[in-house]
Amino acid sequence: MYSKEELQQGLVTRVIGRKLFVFDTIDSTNACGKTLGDAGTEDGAVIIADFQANGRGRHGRFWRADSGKNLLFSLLLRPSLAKDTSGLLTFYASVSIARAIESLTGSSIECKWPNDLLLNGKKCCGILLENSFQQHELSYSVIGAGVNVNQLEFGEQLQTKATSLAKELHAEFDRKQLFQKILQEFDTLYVDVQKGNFVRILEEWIIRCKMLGQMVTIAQGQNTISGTALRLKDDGGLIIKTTDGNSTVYAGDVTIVA
Amino acid sequence: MDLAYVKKVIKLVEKSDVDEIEIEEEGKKIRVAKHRNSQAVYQIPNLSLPAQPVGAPALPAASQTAEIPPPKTEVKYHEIRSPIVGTFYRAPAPDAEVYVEIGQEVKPGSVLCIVEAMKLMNEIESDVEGKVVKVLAENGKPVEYNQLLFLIDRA
Repeated sequence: MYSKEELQQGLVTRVIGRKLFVFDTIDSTNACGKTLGDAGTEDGAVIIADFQANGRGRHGRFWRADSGKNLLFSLLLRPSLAKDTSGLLTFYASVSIARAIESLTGSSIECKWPNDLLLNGKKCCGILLENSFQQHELSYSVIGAGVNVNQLEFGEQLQTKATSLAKELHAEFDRKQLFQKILQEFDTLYVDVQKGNFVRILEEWIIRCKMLGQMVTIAQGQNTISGTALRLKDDGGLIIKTTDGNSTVYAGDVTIVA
Repeated sequence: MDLAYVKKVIKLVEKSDVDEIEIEEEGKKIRVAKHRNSQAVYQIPNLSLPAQPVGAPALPAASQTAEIPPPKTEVKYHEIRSPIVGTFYRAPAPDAEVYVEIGQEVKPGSVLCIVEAMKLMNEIESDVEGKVVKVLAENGKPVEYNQLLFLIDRA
């Protein structure tokens, strides 16, 4: 259980989390973020819940997180961005959360294109971004994240892919402390986002990314693309060198070929 | 002024910086114009039926109305285009209902589809009130920046 006073105590941010909505149980923090977005709630509002009854991943996939052990939150942002940079919010979210986890635990976080955070090669944080567009104008963006903090069981299907900070580092972590660090990192980098300057964010993301220069396969529905992951394009697309030349990828599940 | 000539002019305008050109030759006139902004409007001009050739057998009135569509005065459709490169989805999840069907009434703010790029779900909303008349992208397929996704009848 969180208390709003406790979560905001000592939190020094400019925009992010100045308005905070705290729930014991909610259907989905992202769904709530979108409702607030439609209702005109201010830039930087944050929704946090101890438990999500209907947590969602991509395409409505269910996201399971045990009550009281993880961090589940969403940010509502209203940056004024050029149309081709809205996709870079993915990297903004990844770098902000990676910075916070590294500062709390002292362990390195790896970024995998486009938005996975790995600890010891396993996923410890899922991010779901939802943008709302009217014509070419971004009305708002909701960044939802689930950080596995102290959960130790992931079920048979996920245990080879998913992990938590506690499981990898053999210690329990203070969720409130991590939450505040995350909001502070989001707030620091938001200065760049508001200016439309993603240089620092992309540089930091690339430092944490181990797949550049490696052979990868990308599954896109029925199709698979194989090649060497070369670099990021300015809009966040991944440039792959294939036998037919270079191509830029914007979707798909990436696997590094050993 | 034949069809090949007209096609040639269209190509020339497409490739050039000229937005509009009008050519008059031996009493015949063509005008080729680019519609670059997203508020572009489709216009179907008055269709004038070709004159019946002299000596041709007169068609019975019933088959004539069946074969020739009634002339439309002017149809204007509002365009919804993709703001980004990505994958087009008509529904929030594979087993969920589509956001909008053809013929459905929409309002400003009604979600029409999702374009996913880099696992970022971009909900594309209507900015006008009207009826969906056409879906121009295929579910689960890639779309390009500025690709036409929906036509909406504001009438």
